[in-house]
Amino acid sequence: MSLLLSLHLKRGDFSLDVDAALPSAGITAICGPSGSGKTSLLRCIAGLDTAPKGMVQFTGQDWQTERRFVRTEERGIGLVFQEANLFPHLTVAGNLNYASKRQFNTTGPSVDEVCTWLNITTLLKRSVNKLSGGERKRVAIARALLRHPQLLLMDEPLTGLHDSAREEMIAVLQNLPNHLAIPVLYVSHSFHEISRLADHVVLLDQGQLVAEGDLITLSTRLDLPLSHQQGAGAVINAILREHDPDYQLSTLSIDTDHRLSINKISAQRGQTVRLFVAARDVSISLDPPLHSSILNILPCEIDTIEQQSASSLNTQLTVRLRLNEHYLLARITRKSCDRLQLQEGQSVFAQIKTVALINEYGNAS
Amino acid sequence: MSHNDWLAIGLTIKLATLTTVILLAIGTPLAWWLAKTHIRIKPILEAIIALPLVLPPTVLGFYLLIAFAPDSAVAQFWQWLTGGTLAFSFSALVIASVLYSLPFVVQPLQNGFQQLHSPLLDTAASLGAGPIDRFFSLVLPLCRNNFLVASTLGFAHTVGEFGVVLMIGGNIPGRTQVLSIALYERVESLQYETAHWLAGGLITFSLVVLSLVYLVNGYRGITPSLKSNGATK
Repeated sequence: MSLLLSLHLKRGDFSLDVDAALPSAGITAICGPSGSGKTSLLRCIAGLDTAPKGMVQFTGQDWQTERRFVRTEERGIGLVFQEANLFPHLTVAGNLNYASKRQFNTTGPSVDEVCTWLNITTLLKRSVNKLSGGERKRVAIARALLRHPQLLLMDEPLTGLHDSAREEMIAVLQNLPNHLAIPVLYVSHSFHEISRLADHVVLLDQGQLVAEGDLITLSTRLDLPLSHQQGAGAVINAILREHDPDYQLSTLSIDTDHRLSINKISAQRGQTVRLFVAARDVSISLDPPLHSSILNILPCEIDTIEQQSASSLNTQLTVRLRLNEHYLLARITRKSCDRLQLQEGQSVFAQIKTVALINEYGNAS
Repeated sequence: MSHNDWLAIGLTIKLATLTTVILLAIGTPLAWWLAKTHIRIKPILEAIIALPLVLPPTVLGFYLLIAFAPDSAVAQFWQWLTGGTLAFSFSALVIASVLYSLPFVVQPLQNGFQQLHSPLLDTAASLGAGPIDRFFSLVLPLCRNNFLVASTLGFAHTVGEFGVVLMIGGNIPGRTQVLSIALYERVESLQYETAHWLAGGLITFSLVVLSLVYLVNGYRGITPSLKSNGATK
């Protein structure tokens, strides 16, 4: 825990109140609806905005105290905004060189390495005005990395990209921790991005810190907004047990009692992989379905059922299922819930239609 | 063309160059501050800077004449600082020209600084560039045209000034007799041939300079920043 924050900012109707200790490794997502203060928080950490009487400390360095304020250029951070903000009077190479000339740490990846990771080697001589949206984002990230920062801050870096470019960028960002051992703060309102990238989550709402912790724990808590998002679901770590070459499947174990089969992946036996099970892909059955095409049927217990106020009843509701130490979410119709007379604590079977592989690196072990 | 005519040309170039250099040094931080500040009296400050655009130069000249009179506080301070007198000196011409041409330098610069996308500056800061570094690596190249227009207009406008010089400079060849005054004097003494050379030369110079200004990014008129400032508020 080594990014210590105590920030209190008031601007008109908006106030930001955050006291937190964030990990100095891995990717920490700052998420919340628009206007929740995500960007303000990031700007205070970057030193671009000042919260009076605030405190920011990063791995023992005082960035802001009552008496001291370290300016942005001296904090040794890399910053990627929603817009790429490339310098229009320089070429792609010129933009990268701007960062290289002012690098914070003397050691770090070379221009060639960073260009290879982000696949921009062929763009170097281009004018920045002749790049596509995705290319601009990749150059901006490369430039931030070439600063050799001690902390990387990203503010909705995938905004404005179409779906395929976005998926491509998510893959690139997922790979970053393999190359670089620097902590990343990632601001986003998209649960899709967070579920694929983050290890740790900070939830903000109207400038207030709602919750902060491990993504795996927070993603399935029904009292938090993550479980009510469009693409809500559970993030689970599992260990690869065996491959079935005949059917092209891989078997993974969540714990000693629960195993999952997924399309064959390339990971090694014993390796930890990260999975995502969307709530809408999980259905509940009272008896073990014997004649089902669904491969993954896990015995579990109903932990919590989403409570809905009588005034705003929805068609669907979310149920949290417990598998020993782990949790899944299931989104079912309210009608099914009533018909099966589901109760908290009841033993049921979860039928899982699809399991998505997030990554094979198990960075959140 | 007499020796005094060449002296007038040399003096005019010297005055305009010095004035432009001083104006860029003063005008840049002033324009930056005006572009970024939100203080309430900003419109009043902008109006004061723009005054020379609308006032007859003789008005400014009149007040400067009073300020530069040997018994005034300004002149006394100048004497204490430099040991010389201000009245009818070249230094007085430089001070007057700086005041008179201020809006022609400040407005194009302020315009450029206001249009500068501030996230670019934030990005540069995050990449390790301090304020001075940001100015030279980002602001100067991005506002290059504004600097070019500001220096050209500041220079040309100083060359073209008449009323202020007439009021405070007098007409001492080699010391305060600039081109516009020399021309006036030649006409008064009916030396029309020399007057033609000086007048024609000034027209050619101004035409070349203004064509250059228009060539650089199609800058529209001498006071577009006045209009656009009004429109953005």
